[in-house]
Amino acid sequence: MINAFFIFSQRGDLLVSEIFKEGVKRNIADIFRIQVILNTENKSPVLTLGSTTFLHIRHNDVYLVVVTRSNSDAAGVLEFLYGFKGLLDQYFQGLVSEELIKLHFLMIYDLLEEVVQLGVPQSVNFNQLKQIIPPPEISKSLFNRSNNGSSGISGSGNTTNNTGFLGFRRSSKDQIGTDVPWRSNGIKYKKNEIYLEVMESLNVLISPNGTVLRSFINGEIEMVSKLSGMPQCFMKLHEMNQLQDFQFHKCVELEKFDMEKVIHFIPPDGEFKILNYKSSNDIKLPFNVKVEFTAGTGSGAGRKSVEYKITLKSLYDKKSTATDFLLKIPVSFLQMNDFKYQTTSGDLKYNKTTSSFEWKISKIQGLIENTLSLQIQPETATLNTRSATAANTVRPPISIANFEILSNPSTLRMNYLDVSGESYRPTKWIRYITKVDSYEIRY
Amino acid sequence: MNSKHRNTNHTPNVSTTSSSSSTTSRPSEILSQLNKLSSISDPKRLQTLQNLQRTLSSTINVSSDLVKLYPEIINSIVWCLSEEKTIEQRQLKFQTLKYCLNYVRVINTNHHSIDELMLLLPYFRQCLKTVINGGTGVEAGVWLDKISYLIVKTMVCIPVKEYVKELIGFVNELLAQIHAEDQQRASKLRLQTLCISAIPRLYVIDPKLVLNSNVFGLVYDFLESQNLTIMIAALTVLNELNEMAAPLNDIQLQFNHDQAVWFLDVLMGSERGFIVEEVAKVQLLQGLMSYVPTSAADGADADDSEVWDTIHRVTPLLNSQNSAIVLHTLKLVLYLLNFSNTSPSAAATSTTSLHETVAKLTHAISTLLTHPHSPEIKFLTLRNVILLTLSKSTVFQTYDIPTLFFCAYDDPTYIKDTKLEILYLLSTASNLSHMILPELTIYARDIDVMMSRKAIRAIGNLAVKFPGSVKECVDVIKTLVEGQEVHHIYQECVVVMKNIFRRYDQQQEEEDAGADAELRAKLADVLHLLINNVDHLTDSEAKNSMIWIMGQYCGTVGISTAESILGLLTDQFELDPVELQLTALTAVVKLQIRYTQTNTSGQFVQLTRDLLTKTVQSTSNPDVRSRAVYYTRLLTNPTLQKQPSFIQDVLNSSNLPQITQDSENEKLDPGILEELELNMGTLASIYLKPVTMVFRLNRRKSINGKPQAEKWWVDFTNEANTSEESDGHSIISSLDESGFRSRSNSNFHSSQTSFHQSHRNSSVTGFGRVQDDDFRVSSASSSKNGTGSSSSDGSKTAKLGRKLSVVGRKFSLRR
Repeated sequence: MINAFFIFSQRGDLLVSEIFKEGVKRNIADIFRIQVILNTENKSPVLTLGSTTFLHIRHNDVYLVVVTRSNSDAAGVLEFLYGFKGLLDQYFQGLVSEELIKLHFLMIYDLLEEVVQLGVPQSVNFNQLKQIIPPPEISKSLFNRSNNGSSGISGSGNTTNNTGFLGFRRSSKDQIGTDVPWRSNGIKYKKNEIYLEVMESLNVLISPNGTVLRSFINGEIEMVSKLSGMPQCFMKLHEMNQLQDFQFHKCVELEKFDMEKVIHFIPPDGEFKILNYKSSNDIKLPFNVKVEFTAGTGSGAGRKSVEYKITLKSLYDKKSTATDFLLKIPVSFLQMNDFKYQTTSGDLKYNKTTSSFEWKISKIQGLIENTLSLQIQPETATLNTRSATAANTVRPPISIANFEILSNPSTLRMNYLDVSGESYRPTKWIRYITKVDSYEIRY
Repeated sequence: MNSKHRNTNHTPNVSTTSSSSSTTSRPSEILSQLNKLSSISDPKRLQTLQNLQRTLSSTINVSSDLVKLYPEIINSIVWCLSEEKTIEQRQLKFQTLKYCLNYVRVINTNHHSIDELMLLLPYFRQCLKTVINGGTGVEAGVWLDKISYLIVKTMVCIPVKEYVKELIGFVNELLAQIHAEDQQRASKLRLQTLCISAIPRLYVIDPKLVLNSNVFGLVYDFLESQNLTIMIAALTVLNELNEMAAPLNDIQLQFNHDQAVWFLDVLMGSERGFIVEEVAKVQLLQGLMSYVPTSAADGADADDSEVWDTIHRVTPLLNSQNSAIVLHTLKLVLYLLNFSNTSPSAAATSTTSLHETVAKLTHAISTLLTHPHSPEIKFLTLRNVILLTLSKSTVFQTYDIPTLFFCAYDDPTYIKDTKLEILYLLSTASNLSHMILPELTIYARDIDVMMSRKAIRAIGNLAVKFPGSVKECVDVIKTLVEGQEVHHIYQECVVVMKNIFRRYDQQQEEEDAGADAELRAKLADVLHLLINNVDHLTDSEAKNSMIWIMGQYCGTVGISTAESILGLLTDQFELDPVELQLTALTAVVKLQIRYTQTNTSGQFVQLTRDLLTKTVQSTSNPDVRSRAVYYTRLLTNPTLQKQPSFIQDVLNSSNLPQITQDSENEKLDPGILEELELNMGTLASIYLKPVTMVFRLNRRKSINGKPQAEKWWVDFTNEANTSEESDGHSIISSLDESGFRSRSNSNFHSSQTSFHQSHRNSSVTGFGRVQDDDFRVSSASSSKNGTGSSSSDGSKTAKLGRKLSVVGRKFSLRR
C-alpha cells in the first residue's frame, strides 16, 4: 500500500527517505519536490502522475509524504500520516521541526520500521513504541541552542543507539493487541483526577443583508485523565440525541453507545480528545456585527476614501465576558495610503503581511455595543484603474478571528461521569468554552 | 556492562556531529574506516558501523558516490554475521543486518550486481533454519526472532530466485507450525505476521512458486484462527491480493454469511475482550466488502434480514474519529444496500431502516466535512460527495445540504474548487435562483482569478443546463460585465455567453413564433455590452469565442462593426493557435456571406479576402490551409454561388451540434459508478475514474453475485419526492433511462490523471470541448453529431496537459 515515505523540509530538502516496496526509485522524491513543493499553484494533498500517487500533509515546517503505486485507500493513508504526525509530536513534545528531524533522523527510520510493515501501515501507539524506541530528551533550551546553529546535541542523540538492540529492552508486557493498546499497565496517581473541557467552535457565515447563511458548531471534549490502574469510565451527556453527529476516540465502545447512549471507555493516560461533535440546531450567536461600507465620494481634492462603520453587539449573558476578541478586516482589494479610525474600545492595527486591519478588544462584557469607524485613503495611483474594483468587486469578508467565552452556545451538558473497576473516586473538573473556527461576515 | 553501554553511546554522537556538520563524508574516508574494521575491538567496531550507517542514511539522497560504496561495505562487514557469542557481537550482528536491509533497498533500485547478495544467503539460511527447528531457550528465542525479523524483511526485497525459494520455504514451514503452538511470545508473533504479510510481495515476484507452495491454503485457514492477530494479518493479505491485478490469475475473495458474522464479532469487539486496533478494523471492514449475502442468489423476494443485521451492526462505527473507519463503513453500507430487498412485501420493514440508515450516512459525511483540523480528509470526503451526488444524489436532498458547501474565504484552493463543483451538481431548478446563483455571483468577483473564472463558467453552464433560469443567469453575467473593469471577468463572460448564444439563440430561430422576446432582448443587450470592450481580450479562448460571436452575429451588429472587430482580433493571425485560426476563417466567411446577402455586387469584404489569401499563401499548417482553400473555392465557385441554400448552411446555426449541459454531461457510466462506489475513499474516488485506467496494478471490481434490487435509491428517491417537486431530479431519472455512455463522450473528467488537470476539465469548467464550433459546415452531408464532442480542449488546458504528460513520460522512462 505504501511504497515510499518521505519527509521534506519547507524548501524541498529531503530529510527522511524510506522506500518500502520495489517499483519506486529514489529520484521519485525530485518529482514531488518539483510538482508540489516548488509549485505555487497546486497544493492539492493528492497528486497522481502516471500510476504513482503522492499524498502529503504539512506539519509545522515539514511535509510528510506517502508515495503509492496502487489504488490505495486514501483515507487509510491520510490517517496513517496523521498518526505519524501525532507520533512525532509525542516524541518531540510538540516541537517537530526540520532541525529536530535532522538531529534524530535515525530514530525516525527506526519508528518507520515499526509502524510500516512491508508497506502496510500498522497501528501507531506511542505507549507501545516508547518502550522499544525511547523518545529523545528535548529540553526547550537545547532546542533553541541547536536552532541557533551551534550543534549541541550531546544529550539528545543517544536514543538512536539504544534502539539498535530492541531485543534487550522489551519485557514480557508488550503483548500485541491483547492488552489495552493505548494504556499501559501500572499507572499510579496519588490524587485521581479528571479534567474535562467542552470546547465549542463556531462556524458562521453571514450574508450582506444580515441573514445567517450557515451556522454550526464544531464541538470537542478534551479530557485529561490522571487515573490509576485500569479504570472503566462511563459518561452520559445531556441532550445527546439532538446533537447527532458524533465522532469518538478509539477508546470508546461504539456499539454500546449506539444502544445505550452512554459512553463507555478505558481512557488513555493524559490528554486526549474523547469526542467531537457537530451541532447546527438553534445556535445562539454570541455577536451581532453590522457593517456599513461606503466607497467613492470622499473628502479632499478629488480623493475618494473608503469608509467602514462597524457595530458590534455582544448578545450573551451580562455576566459572561469574551476575552481576546479579534476582528479582521481584509483590505487586500485596495492599495492603502493612510487611515484614520475611532473606536469605543480596543485597538486597531494594520497588519501588512495579511493586508488587513485587526481590531483587538481584550474584554467584552455581555449585552453591550462597541463601534469602530475607519476611514481609508487609497493610494492615488490606484484610484483611476481600481476604483471601480474597490466599489464592485466582492470584498473579502470581515471575520471574527478569535475570542473565548466561558460558556457554550449549544445545550450540551455533562450528565454524569463515573469510574468503575477501581476503588477510588476521582475528582472531576469541567469547564465550557466557546471559540471560533470561522466567523465570516460578508458585506 | 552498563558503563560500557554509556561509553559506546556517547562517543558516536560526537563524531556524528562532526560528520553531519561537514555534510559530506568522502568515500575514501569511509573506505579507510572500513579497512580498519577488522583490526579494532568489538565496541569500537560497533561505533564505526553506527557512524557509517548514520552518514550513509543522511547523505543517501545527496551523493550517489556513497551508494556505490554499499557493495564494498557489505563485503567488509559480512563476517560480523557469523559471530554472536558476546553482547557486543550480537549488537554488531544486529547493526550489520540493519545495514543489509538498507543495502538491498538501495541496490534494488540501482540494478547492481547480485554477487554481494549471494554472500549473505548462507548466513540467512542458517538463521532461518534455527528458527524452524526451534528448541532454544526463551532469551535465545527472542533474539532469534528479532534477527529473523530483519532477515525476512531483507529477503523480501531481493528478487533473486535463490532467495525467493528460500523465503517461501521458510514462510511455509513457519506458518505451518502456527497451529502447533499455543502460548506465544510477542516477538515470535511479530515474526509470523511479518511472514504472512510477505506473501503478496513474494507472489508478485514469483507467482508460480507461491502457488505451488501451500501458503495460500494456510492463510485461508488462518481466517478462522482464534489467534486474532494472525487472523487479521491473514485477512489483510487476502484483501491486498483481492485488490491486485494478479500476475497469474485474479484472486477473488468471497465470504459467506458465517464468515461475515465472525468478522463482525471480531470487528465490534465482542470477541473475548480483544481490542481491535483501528487499522485492523479497517481491514475487517474491507474484508466484509467481499461478503456476498446468502439472499443474493434467491431472487427478488429473498429474505434480506441478514443484510440488514449486518448494516445495523456496523453503523455504530460511523461515529468513529478515524476517517478511514467512517469511509469504509460508508462504503460497506452502500454496498450492502445493493442486496436489500425493495419488493413491496419487504418494503414496509426495510423502508424505515433505509431512511434511518441514509440519515446516518449523511450525518457521518457532514461531520467529516466540518472537521476543522484536517483539510485533506475534508478534500477526500468532498470528492466522494461528488461521487455520491452523481450516483445517489437524493441521499443529499434529504438534508439541508448546499449551504454546507459554501466556500469560506480561507478555504484552500483545492477545497474551493471541489465545493464549487458540488454546488454546481447540487443545483436544481428550485434552488438555483435563491441559493446557488447568488453564491456563485460572489465567487465570480473573488480576488482569486481562477476561482472567479470557474464561478463564471459554472454560471454559464447552469444557464445552459436550466432553460428556465437562463434569464437570471444572463442578468448576472450582464451585471458582471457592466460593473467590471476587471479583464478576466469580462473575458470569461465572453466565453460563457458564446455558449449561451449557441444554446438559446438557435432555438429562437427554430421556433420563431414562440420566441421569448424578453430573453432575446436580454441577449442582444449583453451582445452590445460585450463588443464595447473587445480590446481587453487577450486569452485565446475568449478571443476565439468573440470571433465566433462576431461571425455569427455580423448581421446583428453590422457588417462594418463586425469587420473592424474581427480585424482587430486577427491582427496577429499567424501567431494565434490553430483552433483560433480555424474559427477566424469561418467567421470571415460568414461575414462575406452576410455581406453578399445585402450587397449583390459580388465584391469581397476586404478582411475576408486578405485573410483567405494570406492563409492560402503563407500558412504551413495543413488543416488551416486546406480550410482556407476550401472556403476560397466555395466563395469563388460560380455554380455554388447560384445555390444560395448551400451557402446558407454556413450561417444556419441550427445545423450545429446542439450543446447541452444537462445531466448528460454529468453522468458517468453506471458500470463505472458501481466500480467507484466499491472503491469509495480510495484514490480512484478522487479522480472519479475507472480504477484500471489509472492504476495498472489494480483489478477492476464489480459487485459479487447478483444484487436483487439494484436501485434501492430510486425507490428512496420516489418516496422522498412525493412531497417535493420532481423537477430537481433530472439526474436520477435520466440515469435510469440511459444506456452506456462512451468515455470519449465524457465531459466530466478528461483522461489526464493529475488532479490538477482533471480539475480544469471537470464539468463546471468543461465546456471547452466543442471548440471547433463550425467545422460541421464542411462535413454537412454527414448527419452525425459526433464531430464536436471529441475535439481538443482549450489551448491552455492542452498546453498544460502536454506539460504534465511530458513529466509523466520522463517518469515512466526512469522507471
